[in-house]
Parts: sequence; structure tokens; C-alpha cells
Amino acid sequence: MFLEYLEDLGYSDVEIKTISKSVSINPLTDSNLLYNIKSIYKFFSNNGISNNDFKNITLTIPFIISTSLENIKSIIKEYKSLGFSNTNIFTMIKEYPYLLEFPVSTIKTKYDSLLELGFSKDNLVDIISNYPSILRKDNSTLKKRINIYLNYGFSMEQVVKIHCLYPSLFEIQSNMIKNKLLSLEKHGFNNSDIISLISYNPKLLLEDDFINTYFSYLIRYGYTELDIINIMKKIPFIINERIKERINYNIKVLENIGFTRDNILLVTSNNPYLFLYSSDDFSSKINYFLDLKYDKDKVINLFLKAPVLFSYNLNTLKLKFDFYKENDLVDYIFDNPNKSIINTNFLNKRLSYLKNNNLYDDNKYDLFLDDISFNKKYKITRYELEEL
Amino acid sequence: MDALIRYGLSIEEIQNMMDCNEEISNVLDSSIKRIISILKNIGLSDLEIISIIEGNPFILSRDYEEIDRLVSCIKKLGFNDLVNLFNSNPYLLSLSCSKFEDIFNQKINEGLNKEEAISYFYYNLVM
Repeated sequence: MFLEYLEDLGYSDVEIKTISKSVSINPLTDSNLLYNIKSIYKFFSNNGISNNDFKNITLTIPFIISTSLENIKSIIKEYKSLGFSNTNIFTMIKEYPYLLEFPVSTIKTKYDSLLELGFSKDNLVDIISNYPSILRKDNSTLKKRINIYLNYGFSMEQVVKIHCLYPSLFEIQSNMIKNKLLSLEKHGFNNSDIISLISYNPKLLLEDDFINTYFSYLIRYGYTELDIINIMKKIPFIINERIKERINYNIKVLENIGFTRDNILLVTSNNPYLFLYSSDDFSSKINYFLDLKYDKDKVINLFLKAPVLFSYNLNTLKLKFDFYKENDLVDYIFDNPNKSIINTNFLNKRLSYLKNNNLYDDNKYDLFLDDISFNKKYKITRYELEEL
Repeated sequence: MDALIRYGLSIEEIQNMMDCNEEISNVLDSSIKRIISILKNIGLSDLEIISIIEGNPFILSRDYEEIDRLVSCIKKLGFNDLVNLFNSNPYLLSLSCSKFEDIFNQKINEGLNKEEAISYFYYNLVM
């Protein structure tokens, strides 16, 4: 009758054989097994487990058929007490039926030992929901792996974050973690670069050739491996499919504006945030200058040599150039674009100081001296100027 | 996003920032307010803060405690004029404390004294 019920549920002959090998079926046990499987099936079905999922569960852990429904319910109750929702629990069971293997007493112990590793209750619900097999992992092994990250300089928050983002990291063996960190160092990243990179992109720990995996399109455009390493150091969050589309688009927009390929390689290597900005946004900044009838090549050169200008909003750019215009400094800035990084309010302070001391007319370009040179010449520091 | 709207950013400006950094949509208003508060405590005006976060929208998805640590770290190195520092280069606010120190120490190792290394950050795009 039990075996006939399995047939009714759609188990194949092979599947029925598998079950039969695992449970002791005889006239004494047959009615118990039938009662068990019917009640378990009904309970699972009421909680969203399909026929196929049920088959998969029983084939993975056939002993469940010999388990009473009360036993299964007490295991599920234990997970609920730890913060898992009903939906979570049954999704986890579908994915990883072995969860039902743990006796109630060990579930809490295992959970607590993971808390001791440094994960919070909320983290653990997320991690275990996405990666239920962690409950089977040996704690001392997990601790050893986590310590590798901590000893490298990752904070516990970062370790938790990367494992929540990518729970398969729990699978990586200790040697592999160390080798990967070393391999990233060999690429030219230092310790703090690597921590940033992995915090944003834990998948890097699993990639052998990340340059070609993520950046082949940039290599084809003309970026060297060194360019890409430097870009990754500046914007560690660059590894992202959505960003790839944006980058390709922004490169086209820059070409349409008039930047050559070499210009684009240079300006984006110096300021890779340009990859990420909305093209309307950076176009409007360049167009502001073109609408004022400044020479296009000069404008392109300005942004090329002073890519920080892309970070200023239009209002700030207007204020800067109003200041330069009022003080007849526009040509100087086009000839020395890197000076445009100096904050206008600060330039105003220097301007006032020089004018008040009748020093401005013969020394107007001293506005742009670095702090050391200005202090040497005028015996006043940045901080003293700010205090005036 | 209420925090950004109340702060004075237009929908278009916020949309540009979110296009650049999609994580902003997941950031709590309370976190944004804390970050703005840290920047105000440095002495930045509202207009300056708006320009900075538009220029570097990734600041908003940082943990505000990390930004706080960065600011303390920069002050400890001897920087006193953080207003001009961040106005000139909003990208600095994306650095971790250890990264900032690494860059600073690199300048010292290149032969600059402390004053020169500090000055370097005001006149060069450091990322």
C-alpha cells in the first residue's frame, strides 16, 4: 500500500527502489509508513512544497519517511524561534533537505556557534536562507577561514558583508583564500585596495582571470592591464554588468563630443568616475563652455587635464568661471587647467589678502601657488588666511 | 529619498545620482541625514554639500561611521582645512582611512615633508 501510494504520487520504478532500499518495508511497517508519508505530504503540500519538490526531498533524505510528522514540526518550530519565516524554512528545505537531518538540540547549538563567530542574528537568517548547507560546516574550519580575513585587515563587518553578499565564499578553502589575496597583491593592489575590492566584489575571490572576465571590452578599446588595475583601485565598485553598459555608452558620448580615443583613455584613467556619471550630466558641463563660445579644443583640453572638473556641479563650475572672468584669469586657467582644482572661496581669500596689501597687480598668478610657496613668499599659511 | 528632497536636491539631480550609484535607493534617510550632519560639522555649507554629493554620489551609500573615521583620520594627519579639501576633491570622501593614510605615507616616502604632503592633497586630484 505504501509502495502503491508512492506510485500514485508519481515516483518512477527507480525512485521507488531507492526509497525501498532506505526504509524497512514489511507488513508490520507498511501501514505506519503509509500514515507517515501521507501526513508529511499533506503538511508539506500545505506549505507550498510541490509534488516534485517532495519527491526530491524524500529521495535525498529517505529516512524522513520513517520520521513522525511531530518530529518534523518540532524542527521547523526551532527554526522559527531563531527568526526564520515559514516561507524561508520551506524554501531552505526544498534547496537543502538535509536541514531536516539535524535534531532539534543541535540546530540551536549550531546557530549559536555561528553567532559566536561574529555574525548577527539578522545576518544569519540571510546567510542560512541563501546557503543552508553552512549548518553542516565544521565551525573550527569556518573560524579559521574568517580569521584569515581578519588577520589580513578586514573588519568583522566587512567579513560578514562579503559572506552575506556571496555565501558561496564559505566553500573556499583557507589555502585558496590566502593564494587569492597573494595573487591580487601580485597584480599591484596593496592591502587596503584588496580589502576595498573584495568588500565590493567578493566574487573576485573565485575568479582566476578577473581582467579578462570583467574587462575584456576595455582591453579591446585600448586600456592596458595597468590602466585597469589603476581604475579598479580608484573605483573598486566597477565590476558590475549594469556599469559595463554605462561605460560603453559614456565612451561613445565622449567620442561624439570630440574626445579622441587617446583622450578618453587618459581622462577616464585619471578620473574613472566619468564612467559612472550620467552622460547628460557631463555633457551639459562641457556644453556650458562651448555655449560660451570657448574654443572646443581648449575646452576638451581643460577637462582632459583637470578631470576633477567633472565632479563639480554646473553651479560650482559657473561660480569658478565667473571668478576667473571677473579677474581676467580665464586664459591662465585654460593654459594651466590643473589650477582649476583650487577652491574659489580660497582663491578669493588670497585675492583679498594680496589686494589689501597692494600686492595683487604684479603677482596675480600667485593666487595659484601651492601652500608652501605662497607661505614662503607672503608669510601666511592657509589656516591663517582662513582665519582672516 | 525624502532626506535629499528636503535638503534641496531636485528630482532630476537625485535621479542622476541614483543612475550613477544605484545603491542610494537602498540607503535609509536617517543614514543620509547623519552623513550630511558630518559634512556640516566640518564647516561645509548646504550648497557645498550638495555639490559634493552630486560629484561623488557614492558617499551616500557609505557607512556614516566610516566617513566619520575618515574625517578623524585626516585631521589626525594634520589637515585643518577640510572645507577646501573636500570642495576641491569630493572623491576623497570615498577613501577608507587606511587608503588615505597609504597615499599620504607614499608622499612622505617620495621625499615630501609633512607640510608638503598635506599641501599635495589640495592641489592634485587624489583618488
